[in-house]
Formats: sequence, structure tokens, C-alpha cells
Amino acid sequence: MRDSPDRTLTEAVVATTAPAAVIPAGVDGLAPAEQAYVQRRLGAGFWISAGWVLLVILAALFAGILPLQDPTAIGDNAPRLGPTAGHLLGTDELGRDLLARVIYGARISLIVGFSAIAFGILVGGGVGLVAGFYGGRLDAGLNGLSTVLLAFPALIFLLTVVTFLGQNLFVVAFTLGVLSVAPIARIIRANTLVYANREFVLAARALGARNRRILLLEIVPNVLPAVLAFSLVAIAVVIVAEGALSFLGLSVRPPTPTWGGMIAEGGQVLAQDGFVALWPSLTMFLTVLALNFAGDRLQAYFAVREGGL
Amino acid sequence: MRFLAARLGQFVVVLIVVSAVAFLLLNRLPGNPVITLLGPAATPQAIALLTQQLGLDRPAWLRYFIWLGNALHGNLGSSYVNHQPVLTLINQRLPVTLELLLLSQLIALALAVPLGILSALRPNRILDKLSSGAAFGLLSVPGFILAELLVYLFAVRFNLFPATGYVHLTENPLENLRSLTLPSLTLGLGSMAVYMRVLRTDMIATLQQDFITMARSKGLPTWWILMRHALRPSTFTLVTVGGLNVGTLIGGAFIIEYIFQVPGLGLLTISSIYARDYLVVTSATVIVAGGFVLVNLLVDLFYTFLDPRVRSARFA
Repeated sequence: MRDSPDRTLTEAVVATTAPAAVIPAGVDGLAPAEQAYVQRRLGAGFWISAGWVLLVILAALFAGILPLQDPTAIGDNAPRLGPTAGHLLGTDELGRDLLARVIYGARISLIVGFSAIAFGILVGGGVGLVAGFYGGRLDAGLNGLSTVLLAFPALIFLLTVVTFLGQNLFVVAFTLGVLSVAPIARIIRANTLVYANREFVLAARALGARNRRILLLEIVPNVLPAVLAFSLVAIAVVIVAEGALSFLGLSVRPPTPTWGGMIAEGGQVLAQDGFVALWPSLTMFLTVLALNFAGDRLQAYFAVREGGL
Repeated sequence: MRFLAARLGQFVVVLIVVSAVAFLLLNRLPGNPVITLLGPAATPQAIALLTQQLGLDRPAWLRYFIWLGNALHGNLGSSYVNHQPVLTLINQRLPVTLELLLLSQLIALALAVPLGILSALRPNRILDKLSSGAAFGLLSVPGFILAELLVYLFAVRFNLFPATGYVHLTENPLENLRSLTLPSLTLGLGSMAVYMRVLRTDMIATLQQDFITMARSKGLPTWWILMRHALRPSTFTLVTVGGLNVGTLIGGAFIIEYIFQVPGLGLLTISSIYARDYLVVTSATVIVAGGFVLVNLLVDLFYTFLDPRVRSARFA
């Protein structure tokens, strides 16, 4: 069976808390019987998911302009208000507006998620393309390297590096980006292998194209759709990982609001007021769900297009 | 047999590289156990003395080889912080983590296997749609959110299970299970969703094969066909994913142990990272990485049990 991009979701999901613990598992998202039913449409679910992600991005982007309270101001309001007209989501233990904190918290999650995966795709993508295209010893060497990297416990690596190098946005994003390199390289390598020996590559070679031209103009455009779909799922994985870090108090330091940090704070007052933990949990869940769903739909969509060629 | 030898060789290489990376990484980073022990107000003389006593004045690569040599003789060194042998610490903590992992996987399989089979039996019908949707949703719930949700439901709302704390198995087996219920449920539900999805997919493919039609035409009851004929050939991906899931699972277990204050390997590792207790962290890293590689080696061997054709191809 074709090395289909469908399987990337399962892999990413296997890596929910440890982004590096992914090895292509040979899992197809759909059984053969179902593949016939897949429609050439993204469906309403995709657009709802994309809409939600866009909403979160816009809110985070324009948080400064929106009529929000200062997310870090302590004591301006009564603590644990519960949802009211003045505070749509209520306030936390220290009287901080939860809506403002959830929106400002989205900034950290989104910046870390997008920049880590951008780094992972640039570095891991390059390595995967080269390994899959040239093959041979280079491929074997890189494969061995990624086996070791994948065996290294991601969480220990993450905790250690962040603890020692400092809890700031750059270190968190960079470390998660480094952890994403090996799994992304594996997936892009697998996708490259599918195309490396196809007729159009042979044709380009026959026309005298050099390796670099073939890689950039023949392989990359074909691999790109699958990578795009996968990257959405990968961003979700990183957002969860950052959430776990900030839940442990190891991401960006307070008072900067983070979803994981808010959930941990809410956990302390779970018995008194469930809302404090509910809002960041719900926002995070919906964002991760939307990214996963959109990525899943895109994978199916591109797989069909590919099959139709 | 050559296959086995190659895989064991790979196992050893991975362990050595992982331990070296962990050891050197920890030593490259700022801060060290001496400062943890003496506090920020220590005099330079005291720091120098203790550094020498602990052997920390020697270069990191030399200390790594000393540690590796001792480790090969079964001695993982002692904690810098409380001087307990690392092996003793790990012997205390590892069984707790293993019990947590075992319970979580039992829960995951007990839910995933029946649900996966039933979904595959009638794909795209109501049960399938519900369980697939639930699995997809469950996969988007981070472990720490699920943990808080379960704590809220089962500890705060209905006081059924304790939210934190751990009772040792030898003290009170029943309380031990009770104290591990929420942690293992949190961990198990995440795996359950993954397992259900892959089992369902494989099972749908298996049920379309000729030997199933054959079994049906012989008039065998459906449950017999499912359990005796279809299940075993449908578990390949499940077993593979289960093996790969170990890495995620251990990462998840660490966080879950922290949330529920279960004194396992994860809690030990997290506190040792804070204390810069290099040897404990290195040893824990090696054990986790070794466990990951070992489980995946076992998974490869298990294929021969699942499908005799693999055996003849590999051992011929």
C-alpha cells in the first residue's frame, strides 16, 4: 500500500505528551472499504474547526486592542466571581479577569506551537527530504540518529533543558522545536520516498534536471500538502506539550498567563470554584480538537486528490 | 537468530548513547548538586571541599566513563543529595510506576478491544459513530485536563476515590487499587482512544477477507468468528502502536504521578532534575529509554506469535 499521509494523525496522537516518541507505525487512517466513501470535500466540520482556530489567533493577535482588563492586575475585582456581565467568564482566585487571561494565554500557546513546528519543518523537513531522496549511507546514518533521538525520553529532555536554560518563551519554543525534528524528518522522509522514483522524476532527470532542481520543483510541491495537513496536528501536539510544561510551572514564568498555568491554578480551587479551571481547559481542548480535526480532514482531502491523479 | 542479535546490539548502542547524552547534557547545564546541598550562602572553601568529596572536580567525560564502568557491574552510583544508592531509589520507585502503567493498559484494553470489535462489526452505524467520535475527542484532551476533570467528578463531587496520595500494595491491596484508580484511568483513557481506532481499522479490513466469509458460510456464530478468527490477525497495528505508545505513556505517567503525587519513577526524576542530582536523572533516563527499546523489541518478537508466516520468513 502507498505510504499514505493518512497515518500521520495516529502517529501524532501517539505522541500527545511526548512529541518525539513517534515512529511511522504503518497505520492507515481508513480501511480500504471506507476509502471509497471519502468525498472530495472538506466538509462543514473542517470550516468550523478552521474558524475556531482563526478566532483564537485573531483574539491573541489583537488582545491589546480588545476591551479587555489587564490579565495580570491583582485585586481590581472580587475573587472567584463566576460569569457576570462585567466579566463574561468570571474572575480567578486573585480577582483577575478570566477572559483576558484566557486570551493572553493563547498568545503563549500559539507562539510556541507555530514557531516550534516551523522550526521542526525547516530542519526536519530538510533532513527528511535529503535522506529520502538520496538514500544510501546518508539515509542509514540519519535513520540511526533519529532512532536514538526517538528513544530519548522527551519529557526528561524538555524538563531538564527548560529547568537549566531558563523558563522563557524562546527556550520553551526552541526546545519543543528541537524535539519535533526527528519525528517530522521521519514523516517527510517517508513521503519523499513515495515520489523519489516516480515517472515524473525520471522524466525531469531525462530532461537534464539536476538533483537540487528535482528536489525543489518536483518533490517538494508533492510532499507539501501532506506536510501542511500534518503540521496542524503537530502544532496541537506542541500546544499540549507546552500546556503540560506550564502546568508543571516550567514554561514562561508567572504572572504571564498560560493555559497550563491557569489550569494548575484552577486545580487548586476545584472544590470552591470549578470555573477557574474550566475556561482554560475548554479553550485548550477546543483548540487542540479543532487543529486535530482540520488536520485530519486535510489529510483525507489531499489523499483523495492524490488518488484521483 | 541473527535478527535477534542485531536488535540486541542496537539495544546496547541506544542505551550507551542515551546515557552519554543525558549525562553530558546535565553536566553542561548551569547549576550543580553542590549548590543544592549547601545553599546559596555557602563559602567558596566549603563549595570546593564538597566538590572534591563528591568527585565533581573531575571532567564530565571521565565521570561518565567511571559511572558507565560501575553501571556495567550493576552499580549506578549514589545520589549526590541524600547519598542513597541510585539502585535502591529506583527499586523503590520503579514498581509503583510499573503498576500504574499496567493498570492503565488493562483499563485501556478492557475498553478498547470490545468497542473496537463492535464498531468494526457494523461500521458507520450508531455505535461506531459514537465511539469513533468519542475517541477523536478524547485524543484532544491533554492528560492534565483529563486528570482535573476526573478529580472534579470522582473526588470533589462524589467522594469515591482519593485525589492524591498513594497506599503501598503490601500495606493494603484494596486501598492501593483505590489510590491508583484515578491516575491509571487518566492514563488509560488516552491510550484507549488510540487502541480503539487502530483495532477498528484493522478489524474492518480483516472482516472482508475470504476466510471470514468461509467461516460465516460454515454457520459459525458471529462472536466465535470475531474472537477466534478475526481478532488475532487484526492486532498487528494495535501491538505496534502499543509498543510505540510506551514512550508517550511514560511521559504521561510522569506528569500523572506529579498531579496525583504518586511516588513513582516520574516524581523521583522530576525532583532530581530540580536538585541537579545527575546520577539519578541519568539512570532514570537510561531505564526509560531502555524500557522503550525493549518493549519495541518484544513487539517485534510478538509478531511471530501473531502471524506464523513472519516466523518462517525471519527464522528460515
